[in-house]
Amino acid sequence: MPKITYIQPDGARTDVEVAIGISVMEGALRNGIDGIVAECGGACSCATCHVYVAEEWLDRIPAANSTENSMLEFAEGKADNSRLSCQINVTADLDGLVVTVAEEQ
Amino acid sequence: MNEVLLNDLRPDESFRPDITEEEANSIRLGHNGIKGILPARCYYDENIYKFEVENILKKHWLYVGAWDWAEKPGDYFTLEMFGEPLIVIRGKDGKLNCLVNSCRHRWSKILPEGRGKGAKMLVCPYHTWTYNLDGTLRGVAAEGIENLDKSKCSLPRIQVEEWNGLIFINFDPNATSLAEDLAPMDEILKPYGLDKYRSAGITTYESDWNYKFSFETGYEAYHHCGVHGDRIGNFMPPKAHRPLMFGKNWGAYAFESQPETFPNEFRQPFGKAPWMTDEQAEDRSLDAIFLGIYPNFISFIQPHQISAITVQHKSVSRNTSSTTIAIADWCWDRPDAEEHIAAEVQFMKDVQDEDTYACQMLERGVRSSFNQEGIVHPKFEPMMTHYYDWFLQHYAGTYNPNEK
Repeated sequence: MPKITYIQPDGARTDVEVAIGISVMEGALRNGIDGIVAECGGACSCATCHVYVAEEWLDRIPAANSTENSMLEFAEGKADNSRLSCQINVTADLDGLVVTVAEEQ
Repeated sequence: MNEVLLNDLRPDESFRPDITEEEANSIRLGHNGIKGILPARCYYDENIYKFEVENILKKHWLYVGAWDWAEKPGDYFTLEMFGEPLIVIRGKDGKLNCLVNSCRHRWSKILPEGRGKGAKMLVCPYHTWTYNLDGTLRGVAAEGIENLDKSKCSLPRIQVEEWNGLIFINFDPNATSLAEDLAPMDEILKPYGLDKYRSAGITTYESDWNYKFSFETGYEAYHHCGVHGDRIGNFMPPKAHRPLMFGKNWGAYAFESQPETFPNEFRQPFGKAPWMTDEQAEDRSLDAIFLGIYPNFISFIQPHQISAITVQHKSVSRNTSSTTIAIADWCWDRPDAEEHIAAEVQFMKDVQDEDTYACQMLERGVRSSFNQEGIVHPKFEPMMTHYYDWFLQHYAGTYNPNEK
């Protein structure tokens, strides 16, 4: 299974293995990663699974669609590398992905 | 549903309660110094009730709960008023919002009945459409809809105002501020710091009677000698109460106690309030204030507690009511506070049980065809005349909300 690294706002890193086919958000919930709220359960309607994708990975994951971009407007502390983790599907190519959980959801 | 039934549900805009000149004169002027009460039909006629909903209950401030039921951002409670499902929720800015609890997508109820804390947003359970705490549409699930104007998809808002820790709503978007109308009362209540009193108890009951009976039962102390005879009739007798002050949409009367029948351990169970001078602590002339805000808020206020009734209106003779009690912030760490608070809550419940019986008996007596003209006791119930006159103005269409 691909390994994903979740970094907390305070710098604490957790490496977990996440099954192919689920989202980076679900990978966090299943592994007890703090800070991912996911109020809507992955429907891209709440913007509470906000993460920052490590720079080197930005070009290697499919770009956000218009629904995700409109929801990112509600994300606290939005930056150029902001994504909603429910919209990133885990594939074999994402082995080693590094994301930082947003401080406030 | 057939057409006749549909028409029955629609309020008749042209209907106006037909109060005769003789009836109005009896209420306002009386005969030989004795004034009358509202005609009996004002308590059970379906059409009069529908008129009151549209022209009185939806135009004035209605008490729905205490500030600490929604203390911090995201804290909320739900209620139903005239069949409208509502949410009262504190926003991120600390201000309360009163929102219609029905999703703009396909009208599912969003939050189930009850209270909650710390919601970050409202999530409709049907398709997970989400709303911000101010009711604006946040997200359309799964995939946005092209050309959907999200700014037109906010949950409808009802006016809400916090006054002295009490939450009131008003269906009239143009209604003037409650605080403005009650400013003279604030002068008296200011030292109490009512907005810091903490909720201590609640009793909820089906109030199977016209809502005016609950108000009227609290708007005079004459019934203490009947309904509450053994419990409070002796130390809060009718003659110890006097009208205090009247406003455009409210009135208050006060209770002055006697040392022989109302010793300090009853009067100040938690001791002297910290804001009181020794002189104020000895003054018995304002030992309790009964404040009524028309048409249906009635409260019993002492320096250490406030009890009040909230009504979720359903129909002419069937509502859900809650009597609430909040205890002053300074009481909670006084000696034996727990025991005294429990006693205050029990007292509120016992008194409400007795008032409930009174209201049930009113509901069962009012429909007699022999009820032609009721009587206001001129010494003990003069407040009622102010209340009835206010109703007459609404019935006749002479009430002017903009006049001071």
